[in-house]
Amino acid sequence: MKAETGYESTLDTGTFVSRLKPQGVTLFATGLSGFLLLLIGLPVAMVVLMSFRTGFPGENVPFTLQNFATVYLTQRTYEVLLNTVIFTVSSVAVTLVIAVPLVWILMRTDVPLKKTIYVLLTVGILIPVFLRTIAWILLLSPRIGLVNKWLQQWLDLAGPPLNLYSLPGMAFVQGVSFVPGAFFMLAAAYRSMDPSLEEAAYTAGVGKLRTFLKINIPITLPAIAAVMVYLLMTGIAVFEVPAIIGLPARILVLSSLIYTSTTPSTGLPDYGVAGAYGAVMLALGLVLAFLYVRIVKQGKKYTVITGRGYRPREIALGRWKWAALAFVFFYLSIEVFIPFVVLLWASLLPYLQLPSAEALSSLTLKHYIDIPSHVGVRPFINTLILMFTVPTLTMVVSVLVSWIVIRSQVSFRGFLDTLAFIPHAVPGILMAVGLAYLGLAYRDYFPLYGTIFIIVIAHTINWIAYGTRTTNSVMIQVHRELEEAGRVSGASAPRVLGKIVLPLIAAGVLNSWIWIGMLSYREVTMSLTLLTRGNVVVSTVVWQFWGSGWVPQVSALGVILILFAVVVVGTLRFAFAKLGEVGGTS
Amino acid sequence: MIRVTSLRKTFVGLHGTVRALQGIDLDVREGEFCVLLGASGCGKTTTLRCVAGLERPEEGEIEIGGTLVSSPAKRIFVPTEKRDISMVFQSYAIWPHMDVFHNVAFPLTQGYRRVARNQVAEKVRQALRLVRLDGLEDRPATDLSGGQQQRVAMARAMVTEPKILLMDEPLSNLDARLREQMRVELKKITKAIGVTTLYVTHDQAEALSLGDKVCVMDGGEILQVAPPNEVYARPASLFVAQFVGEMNFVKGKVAGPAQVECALGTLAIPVPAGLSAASPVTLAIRPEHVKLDSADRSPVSLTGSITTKNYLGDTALLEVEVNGVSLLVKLPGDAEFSVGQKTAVTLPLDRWRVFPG
Amino acid sequence: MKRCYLLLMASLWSFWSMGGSALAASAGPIDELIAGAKKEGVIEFYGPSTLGPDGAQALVTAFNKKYGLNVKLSYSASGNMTRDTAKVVGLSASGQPPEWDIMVVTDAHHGSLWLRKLHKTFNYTSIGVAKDRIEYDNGTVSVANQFALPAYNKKILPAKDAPKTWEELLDPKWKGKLGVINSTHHWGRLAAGPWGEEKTLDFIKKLSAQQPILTRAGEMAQRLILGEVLVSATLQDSQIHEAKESGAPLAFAEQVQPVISPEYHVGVLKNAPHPNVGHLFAAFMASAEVQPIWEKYTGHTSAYVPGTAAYKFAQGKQVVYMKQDQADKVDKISRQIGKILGFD
Repeated sequence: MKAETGYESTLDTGTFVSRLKPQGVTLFATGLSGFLLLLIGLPVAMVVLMSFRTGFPGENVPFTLQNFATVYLTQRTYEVLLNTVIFTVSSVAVTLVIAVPLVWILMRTDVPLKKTIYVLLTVGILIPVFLRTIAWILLLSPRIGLVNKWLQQWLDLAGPPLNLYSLPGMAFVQGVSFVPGAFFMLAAAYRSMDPSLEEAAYTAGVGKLRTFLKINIPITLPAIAAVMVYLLMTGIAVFEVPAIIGLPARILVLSSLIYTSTTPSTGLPDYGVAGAYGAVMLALGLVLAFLYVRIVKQGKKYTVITGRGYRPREIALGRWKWAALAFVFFYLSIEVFIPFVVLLWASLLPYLQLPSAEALSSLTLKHYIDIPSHVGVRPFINTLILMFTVPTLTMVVSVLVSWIVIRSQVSFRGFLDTLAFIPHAVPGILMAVGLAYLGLAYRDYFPLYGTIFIIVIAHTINWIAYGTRTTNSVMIQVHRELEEAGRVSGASAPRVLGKIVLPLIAAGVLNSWIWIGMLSYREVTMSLTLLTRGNVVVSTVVWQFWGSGWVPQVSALGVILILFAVVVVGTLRFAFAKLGEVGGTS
Repeated sequence: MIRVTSLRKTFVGLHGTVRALQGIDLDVREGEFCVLLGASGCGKTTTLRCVAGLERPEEGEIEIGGTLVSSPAKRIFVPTEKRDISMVFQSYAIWPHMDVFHNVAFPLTQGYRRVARNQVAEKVRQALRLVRLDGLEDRPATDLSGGQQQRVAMARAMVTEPKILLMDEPLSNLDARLREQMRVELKKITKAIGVTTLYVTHDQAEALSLGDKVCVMDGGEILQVAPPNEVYARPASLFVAQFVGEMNFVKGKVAGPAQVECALGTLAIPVPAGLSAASPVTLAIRPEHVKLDSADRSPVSLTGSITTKNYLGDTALLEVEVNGVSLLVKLPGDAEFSVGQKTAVTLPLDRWRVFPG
Repeated sequence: MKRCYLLLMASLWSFWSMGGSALAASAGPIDELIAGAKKEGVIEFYGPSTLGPDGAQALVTAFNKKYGLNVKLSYSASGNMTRDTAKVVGLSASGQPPEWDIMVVTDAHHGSLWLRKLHKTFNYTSIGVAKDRIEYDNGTVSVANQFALPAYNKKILPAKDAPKTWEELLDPKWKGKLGVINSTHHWGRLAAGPWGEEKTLDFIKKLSAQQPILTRAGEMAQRLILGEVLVSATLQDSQIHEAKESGAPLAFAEQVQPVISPEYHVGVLKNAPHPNVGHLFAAFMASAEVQPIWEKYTGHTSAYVPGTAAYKFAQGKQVVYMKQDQADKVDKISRQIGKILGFD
């Protein structure tokens, strides 16, 4: 309260009261920073703490360097580190090669069917990565992969030409699955680009493709670099693809090591070793975060020059339209259609089989009918709780943080901004392990272990970074003078926030809200790490079904979830078309 | 050099279709500086962008340098990059990721009108000298002021020595003083290289000072094409008269073959053909053509009283009320009239223009 | 040895079960338990997810009927046995009571608890549980046996080509076509038992040189069904059981010996809130009437109870059971094996 009244001060600058009141803003900002520091710092501190300990959360053991010795005096750790780097970098490369042209086609040209493509892209995000991975095994496995079999017959080869069980294979599957996320992050940069920058190139006698390469890509390079670094951070932490494709072929990355040390096949979890692996992950993440902040700062310079009275215009593709559409649909087929068809196929079989006449004759709807008795209601309720509380909490925190960062003159607003970004540098699996440790070791102070709310907290922390990035950019677009005009009209600061700022940023905030809700819905790594009987969510059910080998059941569930998502996302998108891209970042 | 015939273009937007161009005919001769003048939404920018190939017209033909570049009927559409043109944009469109040199060199190294590698540096230097930016080659684009960006945009457009230069409100983002300065320079440069220019603006002063020919546009049509002095002195329609420069309008009606009746009396002015007696007309006269003389006692002149005076330094704008009609009068700044003063008002008959309606 | 045990037990079976009911009739420790259970009225039960809520309900119904009780059972399906076991360790270390009264987990997990003395022991023989069913110093009672053997897809690989001994897995013809599941304790059990450490490690190194595909058990079943893996070095009978139910052509290479048999044990946790129901329920889990219920829902039965599927399967085979004094060794060797194979 104190803080809010304090913020009014800026309206009546010059009066006696105003000399005291800015401290209110500072106080509020300090409180917010403290809160975030605690929220983000505690799990991270737990990771550090556990890396210096052996034994189990709650056991009182002396500090030791033994874990670090175990981890960093082994050559294998460095091999794994190298794998991690190769895997992450090449995944992101695959993503960008697809995402950048895709963004250009959808944001800058008159390619048809845009709305449908948006919906499909969003649906792509909702297909859990490991379901998609299973589809790819059926297609690209050297032994059973259909594509391999066809190619082998067609080209008359001695052996299977493609091997999914390799770093390139992993990078392909992972990279493709990053595309929708990258797309929505880049879309903002491409949408806000002054079209005359492209047109200037055309009038300089330069063709469309060359313009794309020489103008679009370099101008959006800061944005692309930012997305790249962002994805690198994500890539270090992902674990589904390494678990399903990497592990069988003995290709380990850091996240699979952390997962196996906290969920070993035999014996008890080794939190200490997980923490020691986590330390290097954390270090990598922080370095990348530093890089990200720098790139974004650099990129701002580029945007200063553009702007000023242009209207977005689409480039007429002419007969290239079909080539562009073909590219988009090629991508959509590897992202959405093929996985979906494979899932549909698998869900209708008594057990997983490759297509054959015999398999065709055994199709059944049994698995769909059995879903309620297999899954129960609890996971759905929990997932709904996640989908509502996580985005709400995240957006509330993000709006407040952005308001301080963008609008106030508080001296440490840069620190607050960086702080809000840190969660992205901390791999989700690590954050979750830290929270689990916290919940187990300090149960009295933090009695949330085993409840859905520990997942809510994990997710909220994780997406604060994303949330503040979007609210920052949305808030910047609301010209300062609009707010000042409100204050000059005599409205108090909270009223200005409520009546002017919020309505103006509503569309952007709603977008992120929906987006975070969907990410929360499909997130599996953190939910899995924090899984107990009380907080099962749909994504972890799906994962466990897969682990138990219930592929047809998983597929049936997957098909239903995807159809559900198509309906929801499609409705939202078409209904709120005027609010901008629902489901996309703004 | 540029020939546009019956150009039509429609935009389909969220709120229905907008007929942006409704049959534009335009002919710009070699070396000519042609200005498209009009309020926003009149279709001037769309016309320019059609010529550039940035928009696709639905109907009509565009010829550049004798080559047909756009004709939906003949299924011809030459893409922008293959048209022999250059363009300066309203936002300048300076590529922020390149320095000045690379911005200007871009059309030479990447474009359709590429030149040998060893000539690039020299040509860029020449272009920069032309816009008086020599020495700034290494400056990053992000470190340029508005005026400098404008010059870089000019240099980039000139560097290929194009036959045709298209400019879309290039001066509108500059502040007033700089705008006037650049206007003069622009004229000099285009004349120096003899480029055919199509120039879009909503600023009539710019149009009159720059153009060899001014096309006044409204509602997707061209209302008048004429040299600037003619557009100013003999506006073809009431709209043009209203749009170009200041004018006093007086309602009246036709009283005879060369007689117009209005609040100022019956004036002996030729009436445009086709107007019968008693049809309503609007009389128009420029403020600078109204003469005031406090000493004049001649019976032909009218008597008025000065109601406001607006002193502008070099000139003074006065409002005079004559027979209940308020007339704007432009006098030299040192004219000694004051508010409330009675004066004789002379309205030279040959300065009146008569428009139907 | 074990077989002698089983034979002995089989011959004593009818006598024992009669004795059990006789004991229930007379005053003794069992009455105290029943009386205590009546008061507690509730049991927090942690068990395999395969049992399901219906299975758990069937168990408690039979339990209540047998002892004339009206105990309410709250069932926690195993999410992750390993982590849940670690949680019990953590809770105990911080002085908290456990969430569950009894846990049905594998003998290996109970081994981890036993090493930390986290069972609430009870003299189960005093209420009629056969001695060979009791493990971990009166901490747990064996409920059912799993079996692990090489498995193959009989549609793709003719039964005659399936391996007949463990050593056959090392044949170069399988190179790149083998699978190994992450249950490395299977090998640990062989090492602590009949094979010894040296032979096992040697075997594993050679197995690893075959470049097997490594996955979790459920996933391996899928890969066998699809034909991506021709032979999985080990697989559990639960996967074979599930495959049979869905009609998938999976089979054990039944000629291979010795058969590895991990067990499900039930144990009452230290500081359990409802120890009387816990112990009574644990004892009940040893009784023969539990077997059909357990089999119906989980597919497993006890090799110690004559007439059951597991009992029949074990007949005439060399079966490797883990004893409590092997638990620590199995754990250590399994980790080592995991590293050699490339699991972590």
